[in-house]
Amino acid sequence: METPVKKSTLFSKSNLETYSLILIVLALGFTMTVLSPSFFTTTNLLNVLRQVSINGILAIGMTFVVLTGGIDLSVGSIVAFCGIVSAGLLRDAQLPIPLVIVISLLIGIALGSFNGYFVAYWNAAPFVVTLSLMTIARGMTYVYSDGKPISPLPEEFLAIGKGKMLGIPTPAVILLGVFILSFIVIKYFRIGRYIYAVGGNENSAVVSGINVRAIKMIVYSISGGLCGLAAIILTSRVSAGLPQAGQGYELDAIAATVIGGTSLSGGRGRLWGTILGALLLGIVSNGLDLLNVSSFYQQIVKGVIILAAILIDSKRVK
Amino acid sequence: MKKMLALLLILALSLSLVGCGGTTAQSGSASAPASSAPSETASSGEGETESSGDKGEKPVIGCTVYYMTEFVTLMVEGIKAEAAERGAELVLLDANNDAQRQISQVENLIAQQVDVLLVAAVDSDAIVPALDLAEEAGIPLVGLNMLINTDKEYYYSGPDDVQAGELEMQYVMDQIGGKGNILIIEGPIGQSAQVQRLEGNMNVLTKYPDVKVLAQQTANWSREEALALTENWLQAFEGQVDGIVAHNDEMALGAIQALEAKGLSDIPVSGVDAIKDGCMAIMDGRFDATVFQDAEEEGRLGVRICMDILEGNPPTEYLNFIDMKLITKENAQELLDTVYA
Repeated sequence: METPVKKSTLFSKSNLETYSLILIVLALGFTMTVLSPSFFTTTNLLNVLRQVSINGILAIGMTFVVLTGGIDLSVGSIVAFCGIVSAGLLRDAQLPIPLVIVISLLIGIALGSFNGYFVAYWNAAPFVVTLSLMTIARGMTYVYSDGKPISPLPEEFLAIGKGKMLGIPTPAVILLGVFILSFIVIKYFRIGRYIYAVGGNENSAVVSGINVRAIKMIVYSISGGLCGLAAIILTSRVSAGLPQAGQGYELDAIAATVIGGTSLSGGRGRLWGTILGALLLGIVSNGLDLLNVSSFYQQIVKGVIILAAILIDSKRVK
Repeated sequence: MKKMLALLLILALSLSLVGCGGTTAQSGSASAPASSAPSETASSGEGETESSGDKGEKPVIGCTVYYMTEFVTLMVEGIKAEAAERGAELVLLDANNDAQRQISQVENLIAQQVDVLLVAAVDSDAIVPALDLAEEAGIPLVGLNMLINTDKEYYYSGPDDVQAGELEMQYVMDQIGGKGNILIIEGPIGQSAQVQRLEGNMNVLTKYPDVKVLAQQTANWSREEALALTENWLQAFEGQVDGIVAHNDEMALGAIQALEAKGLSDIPVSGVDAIKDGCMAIMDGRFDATVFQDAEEEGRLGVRICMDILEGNPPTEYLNFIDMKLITKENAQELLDTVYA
């Protein structure tokens, strides 16, 4: 049986694409450095790392989902719900922080498997299922919080968003951990190949004896779980559970995934690319802030970049 | 490879476009949201795309606002004008109602080494980490328009929202003779404006035991949301509504649309902000009363506080409230002639 994943020689086509992306990110960084003296400072570069962590983690989850040919629009709302519940547990039930983090992860996984269940076992369109969860979870967030923000939160918890480990911002360390784990799973475990198989050609995958349903369940649950993790970072960064948090975050996650070279039709893409995509978006955001560019222009720029990435994706030889 | 080059080109193009856009956005001309003509020529920032926190050059104010509503746009004009007059440069960012984005923006402003931060918070709780960041960096932070929920002292320029809530509720009470049923349309729950205006509303309501609040809910400062909300309320409380109190003009205008659709335009409606649309609606007789929050003055006062701190002359009071004024048919025209000329 032919493995659906390309053998990575140093100069294979997919690696070239990743190298090009690295070049682009570096070129972008160079441009920003030239335009703004504050960009290439330790403080700012660390800020960028901190600022891309949330989207980076969400984008990794999104990559898992998109690799199977699906999509997850509920990401922002899952983050909001996990965030608000975590805040509530910290403030009112005063549970210890590690326990709250685990609970947030579990809630995220539960919500993700809601998506996974309907996509996998009812064959429902991912777009529609995750769209519905997006609305449901957001509603749940408002119900739980009565529409009000939840604060104050314990100082130790806030350290997650603010703190550093060995000089690197904690959120970035978490992102790194998630990336390494995901990379190992995708590359060295069978499930990685199965995920690509399901996205590449679902019928072949079924015929090859892969449990396609289980794979789909798993990727949506992973996405949900990572939302739970991102929610912890987000909540700690703003020191409050906010019912309106995370709005639009799914778009940024999808953007990072697509820019990174993952095909929306599934079966192709690399986690490396997603991280670079998230970095690219983060540098643009950060750089444009430093250049005093209004958010309206920033939105246009972001849109143009995503469009370019999609056009390139559609031209790739399948 | 060709395709990657294409992407590179597109990126470079959009960036250079935006780089120019950045300069024009900074040198006093209004960007997308506010199409009003700049009355001041900002001598700051001409030809420099990078907002340099250079020592010895002009002081730099780093400002982030929660969202460019009509009100905030006016406030920003005040900020720009005062900054130009005091010889300061201004970096202006808009957080698009995302509290996390605003924290990132504060981080980025600090990285640029601005001399002072001026922050109109998306959320009064979520902005608290920004205070700590500013403190660590040794940069003073002045709050604008939205309070910050902290025990620490901080300088602030903003509306006396409690007074605003009292004024608007009192007006409706007078109109309905102190008896009847009312609806309250609130701002986003948790924002200091909503909390305080509601407090003002309730302060007055306790004096009127014969008045019942049929319902109160948020429409998030949005005209469309308030329209839908009021439509549903008019359906649910058919024939029972005597007055509507909205926490801002936008929402009041939405409610008025719903009332007019049902032929109920006699019901008194009050709001807060006295935006141009609101004043015009008052002159047309569709809207009854609003409370003027001098947006431009609020912005100017914020910058004044910033500059006074930088010049070693901080204000005596921490919390500086702008006085609020009730606007009805008698004085709405005056506003239209002066502020909205």
